[in-house]
Amino acid sequence: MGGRMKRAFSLLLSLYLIMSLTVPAAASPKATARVDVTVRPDSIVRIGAGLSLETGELVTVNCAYSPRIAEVDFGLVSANNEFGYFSGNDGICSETIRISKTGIYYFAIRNNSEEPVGVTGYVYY
Amino acid sequence: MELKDKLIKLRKEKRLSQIEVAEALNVSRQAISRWETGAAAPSTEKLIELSRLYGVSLDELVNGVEPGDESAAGSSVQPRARRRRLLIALALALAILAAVTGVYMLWRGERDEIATDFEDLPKITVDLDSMEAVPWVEE
Repeated sequence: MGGRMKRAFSLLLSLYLIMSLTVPAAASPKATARVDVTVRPDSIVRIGAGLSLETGELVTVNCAYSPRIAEVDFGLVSANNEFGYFSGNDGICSETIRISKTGIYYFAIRNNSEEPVGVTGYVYY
Repeated sequence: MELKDKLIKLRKEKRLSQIEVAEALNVSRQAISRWETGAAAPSTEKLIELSRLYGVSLDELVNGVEPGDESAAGSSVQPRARRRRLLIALALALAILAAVTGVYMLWRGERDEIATDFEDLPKITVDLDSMEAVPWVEE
């Protein structure tokens, strides 16, 4: 084995090990869920089963909705029935929520418009 | 076969005496004797002259590789080449893993930076049980 190759191999291995150690396992997304729903006017829907989330975990919402002028809120409903939300803008919602308290949360979408809104996208948690 | 044995074998095949070889190479008979007993080794220059005198390649003289004996040569080269390819493949795999990890870390860092605490979000109280429930889309 050439000395240069040995050095390159060691460098790559070290780099990978350092990177592996610096990524806390708890912060890794556990899953990706796909959303494809039509939300009725002036209503709120919860999507999927409850998510068991720990303090510090991140939930990223990447959704698009139509019509783009609709007023739509995206967020999480906590176990004590609090809906913490972001408002979509121009047909897009791309936000990340950091969980402050361990518990079960539901992803929810609220349509504040007077017409149905189609929503598609992904939620990473 | 060791060099000393090879030297004896080739000299005998050529039906030469140690003195004749010594004269041809312009060295003493004792030098030839020392080479053939392994007490000393010929210099590179003398090895070249010996290979010419005995009509063999330098490689054959030093390594004992017969001309056209590719299996002997290949057996040492092929595993080395295979090992090299394996190492390159391993290095590439690690590089890809490192790149994927790096991209993930950047993405995670970005998420961390823009994340808003749930506590800081505007909130309303809702009735979870009376909400319409829709399943995730199955992939």
